[in-house]
Amino acid sequence: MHIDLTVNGQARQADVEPRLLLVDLLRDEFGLTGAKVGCDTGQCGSCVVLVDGVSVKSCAMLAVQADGANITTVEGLSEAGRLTPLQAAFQTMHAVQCGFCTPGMIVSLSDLLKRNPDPTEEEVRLWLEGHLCRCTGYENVVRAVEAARQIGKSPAHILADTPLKQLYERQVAYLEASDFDALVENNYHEDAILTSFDGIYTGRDALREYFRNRAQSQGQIDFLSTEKYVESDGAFYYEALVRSAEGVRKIYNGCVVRDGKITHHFEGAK
Amino acid sequence: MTAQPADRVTIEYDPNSTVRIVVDTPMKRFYQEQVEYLNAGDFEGLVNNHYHEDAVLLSAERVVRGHDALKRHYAKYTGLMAFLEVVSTDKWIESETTFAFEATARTQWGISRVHDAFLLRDGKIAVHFTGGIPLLR
Repeated sequence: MHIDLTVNGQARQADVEPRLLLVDLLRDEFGLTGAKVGCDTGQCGSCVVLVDGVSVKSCAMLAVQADGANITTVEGLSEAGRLTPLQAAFQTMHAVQCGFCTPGMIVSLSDLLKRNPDPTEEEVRLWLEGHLCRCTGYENVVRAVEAARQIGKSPAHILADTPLKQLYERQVAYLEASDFDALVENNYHEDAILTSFDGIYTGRDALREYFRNRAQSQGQIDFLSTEKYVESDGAFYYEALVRSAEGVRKIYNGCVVRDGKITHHFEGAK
Repeated sequence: MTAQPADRVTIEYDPNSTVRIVVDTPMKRFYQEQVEYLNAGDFEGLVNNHYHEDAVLLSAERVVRGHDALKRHYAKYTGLMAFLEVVSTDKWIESETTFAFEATARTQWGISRVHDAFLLRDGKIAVHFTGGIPLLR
């Protein structure tokens, strides 16, 4: 039978046998192996995908039933390579051991958070009843959902309603774009000093070199959330959750500003 | 100007000091005094001697400006944390006008990690950034 469907935003077609399961279509025909075949009997939840936005065990659904549907697998959750808050939280909270059941849990819990952005622990545990994990004991998974809620409440971008917040927003944008020339030129004074536990860097040339070297060692930085931000006349402090090649971590920064540009910058990571 | 080499400081255990840092620069002496003020609960001495009148402290929760507000902040901060003493200085970096550290503090509730960064003007603190890391039980 011929079916047309959308998978992770792409129009797909397939000629399938009526008995073919959706999970087998996704894995064997489309090469999307994020959804796992665990029990093959609709019990373990490792194969969960979103069908028209609703979490479904894809081993319990025929491919032909997905004709015309919009399918999202774990591969399609992130946007432009950026982890969702839930994915970042799974990484941060180490809510994974062997990882086999993780894609299904993340897809399923994404559905939960869409329906209920503030689930209680009891509601999270109840939702997870459709998932079997033989390693982690679920505790860190529950913590990850709570962490995802926190990340969701404090997105990377803040309401830039003051000059210092606008400066911070530019800082985030330049760092995420790895545009260190513009970052240093537009945001730092000529004699600015950056103090980190790696060293003290004075002047724009040293700052550019510092940011470039850091990008080479850590890769591009994605700001997942701005968890804390305070400002006073001429200074601001923030704590943020960022992702780089080294993983997800919390950073803290304090900046002293004169005439709209940074004179002193302190930074560290938790 | 190129990046200066990392100014790492070796932290060595000094059984006679609760700060546990080798005090070999004026900035470290300043820091050690700060810890001694804190450990003694002497917020008057700490703020009067170490902060400018218009000094500002920015933490994740609040902005505190001026001597009176700073003294109230320290009294509240140490009370809330049930602060007992600074146990160790885990990271340290300094320049002529700045220094930053990460330290471990003992409280009645357990162990806490803190981080602080300072901008000094004429030998006193002009700007102080501070934050904490959740208690380690």
